[in-house]
Amino acid sequence: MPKVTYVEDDGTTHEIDVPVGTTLMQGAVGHLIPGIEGDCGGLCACATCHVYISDEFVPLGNSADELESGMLEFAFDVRNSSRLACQIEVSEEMEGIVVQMPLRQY
Amino acid sequence: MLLDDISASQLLERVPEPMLVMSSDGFIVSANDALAHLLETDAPPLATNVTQFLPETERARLNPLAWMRRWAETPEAPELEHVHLICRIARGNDRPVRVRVGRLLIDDVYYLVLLHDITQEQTRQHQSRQAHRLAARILANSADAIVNVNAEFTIIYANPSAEILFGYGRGELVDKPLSALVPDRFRESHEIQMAKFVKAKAPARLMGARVEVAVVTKSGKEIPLEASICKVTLDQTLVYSAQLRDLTVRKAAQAELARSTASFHTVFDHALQAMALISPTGSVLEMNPAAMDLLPPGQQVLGSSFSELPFWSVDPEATANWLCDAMAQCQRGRAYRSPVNMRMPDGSQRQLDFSLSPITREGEIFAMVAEVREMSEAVSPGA
Repeated sequence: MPKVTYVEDDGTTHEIDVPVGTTLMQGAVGHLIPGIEGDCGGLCACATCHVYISDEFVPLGNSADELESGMLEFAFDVRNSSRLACQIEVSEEMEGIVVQMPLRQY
Repeated sequence: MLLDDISASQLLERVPEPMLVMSSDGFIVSANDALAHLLETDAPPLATNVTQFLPETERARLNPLAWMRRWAETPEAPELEHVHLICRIARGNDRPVRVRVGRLLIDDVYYLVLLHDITQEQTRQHQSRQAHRLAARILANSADAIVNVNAEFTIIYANPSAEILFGYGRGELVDKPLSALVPDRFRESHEIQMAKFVKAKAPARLMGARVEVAVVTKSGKEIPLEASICKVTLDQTLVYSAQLRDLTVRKAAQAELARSTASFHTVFDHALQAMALISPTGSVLEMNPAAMDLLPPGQQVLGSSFSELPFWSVDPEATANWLCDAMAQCQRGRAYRSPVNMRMPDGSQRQLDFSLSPITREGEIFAMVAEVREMSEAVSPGA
């Protein structure tokens, strides 16, 4: 089970084992990690699971499609590394991935 | 009166929700008083652009006008249930508003826009979410294992302490029958006990009280637990919640303490030398049979003042003085040893070798050991 490090905006880190096949949003919500809401339950319809993925891990996952890019417009403080965590499926290759959270989701 | 008799502006005016009609580039051609009320202005905004109060948000890439045009084409878009726009009111404050947009086809394309202030809704949601998180986090961080089962005794929740205690991975316990945690030899009696508990009328009560039970881990190891169960009903959904505490360490400590106490008493009770354990304030905590032989039969000693026991009656005043000095010396961490005159149960006097030694724990004197020997065994203090 890959270990995922969720980093809150204030630097607080949470190391969680997230099952392969689930999403980074499910991993955070399932472990009550503050900073990721996932209001729509993973339908890519709310932009409340906005995270930043560092460059080194970008090639490991899928890239944002048109729907995700559109919803990211509703997110706060969007950067080039912005993604919606509900759209990133966890794989074994993501062992050690670091997921940074923004200041807020609303 | 037919609907045709009512002018569009009358209709717009009477709608209690903030509403406006805008052109495709965002210029407002009509708006109602409810919108003025939302924006805290004296009159509805007319001949201005909607982006004046639905602006692009700082630190976001959102183009509200583009999204409103898009939503007019897809009024059932799933994100409409979840996303909101930020409405900037006259005082410069921001309010979240849920937006619905309809396309009007007149000569040109116009859009009917409804705004719904969701400030209170968001606040309530936030409070509810925080309360849920707080409760969930308390459960998750509880040192006690917590296992919730439904009316069919299927596990519906197990906190991390429970998963660790039973040796299961994250989420592995959910959907397992409660009986998976009960050793085979106890399964039948457990089912009878649970059946009794189910019939109990009290809405929430301990299963008798905190009781000791044995459970089995994923690896098949049996461990002793202290358990309490409560029954909770919410919206006709029944949940049994068990709080479980591992007794392995406590039972091992109790066994060790019992062994240690037994060893102490074996030595203490069979010593030929008279010995007593004295509290720092001078009360007798323990006295061995050899010391009891120095007292009249039936003498009560436990809890009595050591300095007032009958064997010090030869010269009570002098005894009180030197015994006080001896205890003070012990309190400073130094042992006292000296020949003393003691009265025997038959009334005779004997000179015996007396010592008082401090016992320290974590730097504090918590007791003193008094010993009495024959003078032939006497040695000078510090020898």
